[in-house]
Amino acid sequence: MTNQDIQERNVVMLLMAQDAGLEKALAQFPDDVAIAMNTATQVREALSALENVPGQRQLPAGPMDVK
Amino acid sequence: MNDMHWLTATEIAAAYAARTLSPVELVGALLERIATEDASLNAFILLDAEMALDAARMAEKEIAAGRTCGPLHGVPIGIKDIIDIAGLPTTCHSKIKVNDIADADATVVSRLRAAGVIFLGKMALHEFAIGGPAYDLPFPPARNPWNRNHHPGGSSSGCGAGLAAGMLPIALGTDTGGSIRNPAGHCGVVGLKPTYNLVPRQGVFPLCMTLDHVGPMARSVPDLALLLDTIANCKSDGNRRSFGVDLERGLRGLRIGLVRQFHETDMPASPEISAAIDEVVRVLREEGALVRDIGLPSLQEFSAVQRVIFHSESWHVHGKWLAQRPADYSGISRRKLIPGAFLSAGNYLQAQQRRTHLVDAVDDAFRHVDILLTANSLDPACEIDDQDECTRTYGRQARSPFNLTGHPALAVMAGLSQAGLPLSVQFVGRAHDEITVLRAGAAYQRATGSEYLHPPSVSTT
Repeated sequence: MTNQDIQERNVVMLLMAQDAGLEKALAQFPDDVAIAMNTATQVREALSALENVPGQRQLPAGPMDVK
Repeated sequence: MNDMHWLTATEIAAAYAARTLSPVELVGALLERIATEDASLNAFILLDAEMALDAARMAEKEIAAGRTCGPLHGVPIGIKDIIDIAGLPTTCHSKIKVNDIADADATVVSRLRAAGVIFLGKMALHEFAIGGPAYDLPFPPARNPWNRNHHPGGSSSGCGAGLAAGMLPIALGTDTGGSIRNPAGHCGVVGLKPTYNLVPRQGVFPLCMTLDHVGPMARSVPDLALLLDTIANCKSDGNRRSFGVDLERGLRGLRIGLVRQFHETDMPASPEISAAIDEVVRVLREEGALVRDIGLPSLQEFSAVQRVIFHSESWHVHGKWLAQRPADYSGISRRKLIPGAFLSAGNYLQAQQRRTHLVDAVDDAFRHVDILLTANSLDPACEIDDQDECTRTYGRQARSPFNLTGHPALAVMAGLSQAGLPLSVQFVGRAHDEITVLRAGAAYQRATGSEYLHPPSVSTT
């Protein structure tokens, strides 16, 4: 990743944190917000990776379907 | 009786019936025990000795008059401090709620109250049942009675520590990603995550609405059945068999599927955990169970789905406070709760779709076996102040798959590590088949005598 890539990513992160109403957290705990953003990226990537694994099904009527 | 702090609820009920023990005598002994042990264990956030003694006097009169409410009448309990007891604060171990007094009992607490249970107080946890051992909170983290330098597991840490140290015979915890089974395993006691929605969550501070479970913890499996009988919902027709109906049935003929891939290939366990699981299999076979290997989707697949749902739903609960009062959370909680801000509704729905496949896969396994045997934690408890090790081992577990699928799962002790720390395994059953899960756990516990193994670091008399 180039320096420009990193700067662009930081701007995106700032905008995303502001969108989420996290200005105060970003100002007081920037490292925690950055770690959380990285975690979210990893979580999304892990979910996307499942698209290549068989098993997609239709959503049930409710959020939980214990038979 | 000079070792009454080690009595199980079942033994206490028998002693009350035989008039060899009284509630006042027992509560007095436990309060002494707590005074001795809890200064270095921090299991309690709030100990209400007066409330407990008043309830003990009342129970003593009622039992003496023959007005017994049931087998838990006069039995003391500890309640995880995320569950409301009217008139007491529900702090969730957090600055955010440190002054919030509950104005009503949680449904589970009102059921326990009706059964004559004595509330000792509120037990420590990880902040909001998500954080981890932290020192930037209003209360210190609970420690492991087997070795106070070690983590007791979480998030129901105080319940696990209190049970293992002989401060209480039964406790009520919650489990969103393993928070009953982790401290049960690390503290050498037992804990059951029941089937999703079997136990009501009203009056329990939420973390993730489709992953949260309330469940019993104890030193003996029969006590879990007693507690579950008291707190569980009835079927729509009002009928329900006791969850303890098969406790004495043994293992002969029971078909058990070992999910070996979890701890051998998906996420290789420490050698001591692997050896402990092999020994559990040997004992189960010796007791007459039919054990075979069985496959499930990988821990990675379960985790990928669970994490999206976990972060999305916990952000839904905490987003407003994280925006307004971020400094009132511990750092570890902030880092675990904020990721949900950056996940989309599409991510959440994709995970929920995938979840149905995982539920079906576990249900399919139960066409071939009656019980699944899996690892619980994949490592023994780490040192509580080793943050790197706490972080490394946090996700190394096989518990959260069953929060995702809703199947009942029981953690039981499976021997000790070379360092003298408890090891454990997990028995998982069909949805709403807690009876068979408890049957397996009780038979295994009887065969190994683990309910009578107590930490050497606490006084044993």
